[in-house]
Parts: sequence; structure tokens; C-alpha cells
Amino acid sequence: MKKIFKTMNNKFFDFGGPFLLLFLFGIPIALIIVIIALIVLTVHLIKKAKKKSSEKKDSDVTKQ
Amino acid sequence: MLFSWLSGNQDSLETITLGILTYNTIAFGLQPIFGYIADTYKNIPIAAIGCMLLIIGLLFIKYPWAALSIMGIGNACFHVGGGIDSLKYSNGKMARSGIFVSSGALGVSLGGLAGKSTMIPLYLPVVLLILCLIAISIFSSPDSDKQYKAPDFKISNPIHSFGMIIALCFFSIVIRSYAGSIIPMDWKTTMFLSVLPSIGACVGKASGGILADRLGARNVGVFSLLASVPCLVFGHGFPWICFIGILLFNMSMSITLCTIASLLPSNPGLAFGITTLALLCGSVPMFFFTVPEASIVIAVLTILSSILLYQAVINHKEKENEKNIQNYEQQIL
Repeated sequence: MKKIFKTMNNKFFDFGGPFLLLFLFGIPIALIIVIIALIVLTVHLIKKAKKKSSEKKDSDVTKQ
Repeated sequence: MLFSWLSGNQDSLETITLGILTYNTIAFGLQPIFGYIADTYKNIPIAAIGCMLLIIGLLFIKYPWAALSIMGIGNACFHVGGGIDSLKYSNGKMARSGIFVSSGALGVSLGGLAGKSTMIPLYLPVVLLILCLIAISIFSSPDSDKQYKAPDFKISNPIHSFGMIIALCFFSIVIRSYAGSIIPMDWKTTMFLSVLPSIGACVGKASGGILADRLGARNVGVFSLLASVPCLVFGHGFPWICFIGILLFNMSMSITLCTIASLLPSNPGLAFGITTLALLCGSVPMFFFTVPEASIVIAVLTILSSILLYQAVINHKEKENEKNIQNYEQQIL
């Protein structure tokens, strides 16, 4: 069993398996991380925008 | 430019896919950030900067990755500028933003055809972009109103909280974007037929805004999505039925945009960016896996999207109030 696994493993490396895996899974993972980062940043910007507008509303009410 | 690179180069399919994904991520994903910057610093002529970056990107055409990145940023800036303008001067109507977003689908399709053709010289897009810059400088009014606000479209559902409505609209767009990208269209064999879906999307987006102003955002958004299901599920093999399905499917585009914009009246750029980020999130899965039974998935997702839209949007606050008052008066009498 060990022998079969070792042969398979060698074949996997000969075929360029790690690079293939990196390409197949690396890019989607990297892309997902980028998109999640963009979503988190957008949520932060929405919170900031909402805070600003409510502060502005308060100051307008105080002025009146 | 991107399509000519795709059709002409010797790179592997994976590289080309990566190119499209990179472009989409930059062009769609960065719009919330650029939108927020444009909302904060109102003097920045963001649409004009976008046009200039697109021209600069064309100069780097021999270096596709650099050109892709520059043009992606240019695209993001241009769209944010146009989006702000369409929301700011909408006067509470959805028609204007619907017309603005409608032309994009047609542009992508025509760009694809232009990229495949060897007849179109490089200077043509440069000339078009310069014309675009001239049009922006002539027609865009100088920002005298530094504290501009997108008008309240009065269509966000008051039952739900601020965050809930944004989440409902966001996921509605994500689902719609993915469902729209997996519609099987094997009949796109001629030039006209390959442009036909884009014409449907263009007409649908533009008419969606106009009809929503007249008939109510919720009525139009939910009905159009549900009506598109039989056309896309049973008629995707027939060009004209599929055309009608795509037209109906795209009608809710301006409704979701205006709902988010009504929640963020001081940040129309950010509101526009949120919708494009949702479009990106919905289009990404298509690049990595295919679904075996696309028709069923489209039906389920479109119905789900319409339920989310039903929860997020109402027809019109003032009109709903008028109706409630009328009902109340009738009950009393």
C-alpha cells in the first residue's frame, strides 16, 4: 500500500501536480479573499457614510 | 481591447479567463471605494479621469496586463461618475439611472464583436473616448451644489432596518447576476443573434426604470422577475422567447440601485458601487464551475431574487400612504 501511494505521489509530482493544484485552487482562493476584503471594506464605508449622515442630521436639527 | 487580445493571442484558456476575472474584479470591485472617494471629494471630475485612464490604457496595449489594470480602474471611475450623475439629477425618478445602466450590456457585446474584427483600428476607441471627454465637459454642469444629495426615491421598505434592506438588495443582485450568467443560449450563431441578448438586457434595464416610476417599483420588479422564469426556463432554446425573458429579467436593475441610493442619499457613488460589487460576486462562480441543470437553477434563483426584492422594496412611500389614508377614510365612512 505504501509503495502504491509512493508511486502515485511521484507521478503526481512528475505531472506538475502542485502547480496544477496551486492554479486550480490558488486563484479561486486568492480571488475569494480579494472579494471578501472588498465586501468588508464596503461594509466599513457604508457604516462610515451612515454615521456621517446621521451626524449631519443632528447638527442640522441643532442649528434649527 | 480585451476581446481583441483574447481572440488574437496564443495564451492558454486559463490565462484568458484570469485576464477577464482580473479586469472584472478591478472594474466592478473597486467602484464602492472610488464611489466613496467621489462622494467625499466632490470636486474630483471622476468620469473625465476614467475616460483619460481608458485612453492611457490603450497606449499600453502591447503590455496586456498593464493595459487591463489601467483600463479596469478607468472603467470603474467612469461608471462611478456616470452613476453619481444619473442619481443626483434623477429628481426622484428611476428612469434616468435605468437608462444609464442599460447601455453597458450593449457596449460589452459590441466591444466583443469589434475585438474579433480585424477591420477596426486602434485609433477608433481613442477617438470615441476623446468625444466622450468633450461631451462630459460640455454637458456636465459644474458642481455648484457642493452638498449634493441623491433624491429620496421613497421605495425602501420601512419595515426593515437600514442594514437589512442593503443586504436584501445586495443578495438579490448577486443571485440575479449569477442566474443571468448561466442562461444557456446555444442559438447565438450569427452576428445579430449574438447581439440579441444584449439588446434585450439594454431595453429591459431602460424600460424597467420608466415602468417602475409609473406602475410602482415593487410591482414592476417582482412581476418582471417572475414573468421571466417561464421564458428563460422553457424558451431558452428559442431566440425571441429568450429575448423577452432577458428583457423582463433585467427590468429590476434600476430598482435595486435606487433602493440602495435612497438609503445613502449623501453617497450616490457608494450606492452605485455596492450594486456593481454585487454583480461581481454573482458573476465569479460562473468562471469556476458549471451547473448541469441550468434551467432549474435559473428558475429557483430568480424566484429567490424576486422574494428578496419583494421584501426590500415598496411601490412608493407617498402613494402607499395616500392609499392607506383612502382605505382608512373608507372604513370610517
